[in-house]
Amino acid sequence: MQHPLAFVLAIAHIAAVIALLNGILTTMGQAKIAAAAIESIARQPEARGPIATNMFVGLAMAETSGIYGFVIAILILFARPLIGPFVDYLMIMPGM
Amino acid sequence: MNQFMLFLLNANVEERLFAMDAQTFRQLIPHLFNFIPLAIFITFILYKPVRNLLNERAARIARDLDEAETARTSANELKAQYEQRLKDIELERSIILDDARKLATERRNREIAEVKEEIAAMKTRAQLEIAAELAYVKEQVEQSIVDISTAMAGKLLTTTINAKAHSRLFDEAMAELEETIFKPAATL
Amino acid sequence: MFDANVPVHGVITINGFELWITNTVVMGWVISAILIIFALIVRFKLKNFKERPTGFQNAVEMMVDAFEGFMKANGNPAIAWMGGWFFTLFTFILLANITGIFPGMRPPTADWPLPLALALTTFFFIQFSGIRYRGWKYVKGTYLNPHWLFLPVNLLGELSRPISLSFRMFGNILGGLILVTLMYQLTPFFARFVLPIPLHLIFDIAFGALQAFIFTVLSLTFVGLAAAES
Repeated sequence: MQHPLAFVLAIAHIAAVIALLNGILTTMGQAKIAAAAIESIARQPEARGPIATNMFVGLAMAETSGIYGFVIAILILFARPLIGPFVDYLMIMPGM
Repeated sequence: MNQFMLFLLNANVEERLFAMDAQTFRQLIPHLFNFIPLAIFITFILYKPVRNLLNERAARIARDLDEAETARTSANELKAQYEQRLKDIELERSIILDDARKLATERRNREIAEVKEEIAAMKTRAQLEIAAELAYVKEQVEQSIVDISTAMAGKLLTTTINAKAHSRLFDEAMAELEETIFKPAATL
Repeated sequence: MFDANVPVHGVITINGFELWITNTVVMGWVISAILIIFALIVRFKLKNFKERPTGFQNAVEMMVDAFEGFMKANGNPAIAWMGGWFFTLFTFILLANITGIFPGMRPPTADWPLPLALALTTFFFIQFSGIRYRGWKYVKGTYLNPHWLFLPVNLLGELSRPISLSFRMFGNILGGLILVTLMYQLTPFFARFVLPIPLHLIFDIAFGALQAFIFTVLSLTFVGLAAAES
């Protein structure tokens, strides 16, 4: 039989990948922001500076959810909140 | 000192990428103790003096610009004055010129009229002279013809008629006639 | 396991209170030392700064002037006296982010405690300027917004600001660091000095400057909004 810890690690990696999937929607939102900014620069080229500044701030705001997903993936992969309780559980389980 | 500060190299520590335990939040203490004095130091040593320098320079430049602006305004006023004066002079000049031109035109017209009158008078005088001359010439010619005819009639009556005498008489008469006819023509 | 972990150089124990001296703390000290030396050089050269700037003086003046314009463009005039704070924040984060281009150095902002500390100072400034410039109206308008029953929700929303600020920069820099480290591990030895250079340029210089800019702009906007009268 497989070691149960390996199973937990596999689940953790899958969970990390799922957490990273929100990058799709984040990227779409950022693309929309960039498209709108380019459109307004094309319509009003003299307002290029403020539009670019606001675009970067808006991109950073839209990036937040993607960064949260990334942080959760890092947390799952490296901080390993699941492993500690599981190891404790293995310790008290007889015969493992 | 024994309990106050103790460096334990290679202690039971974990090299990690990211974690959310008590140690992570304890790490805030050295960072805050590092960053807050740094920010105060940079603010008072670097940022404020340089900013004050820049502000002073900006104020000085603004003052210089103001002075230049006032100087330019006064110069513009002076220029406007001069231009006004120039315009006045121009107006005066044009008035004088117009007057002079009008005067000259009047005078010219008057002189032209005088000359025309004179010419007309000369013309009438000349016509009168021509008419008088013509009358005189006519009278002369009439006189000559009368003279010739009387002379010819006299000759005819006084001489005998023979061939020789006739032709001689005729020649004489002719010569006389020529003389009479051409004499006024020569005198004319 | 690849080598993107935070090294721990030592441990201080004060009455059982254990504090690790990590690489991040040391890098913070190094960057602070660089900034302090720079400030001292500027301070000593300030006396013979000329009317027409050249060279070093020009660079310093351009930096400060650009930051002043940036403060005026993005911030509230009431918080102009905090310019030094934001200037330090910007230069510190910028230096911290671009230390990653040196091989063997780990950018300190890729460790969560440092961005969290910076974001907590921003949080403090938000509350401070709100209470100083608007007083009770700020507390009422922010925390007790529709009704006092909403206090927990508003508190959570207000606390999420430093968290999201810190996680934004931490995630960006850590993502770049992980990618660069993976690139170093995956490339063969002879290509190790050529292939990661574009990644360094993008993740350390471009994204580092961008993140420093965004952190400062967002802090300025938050503090300016808290201090705004309306």
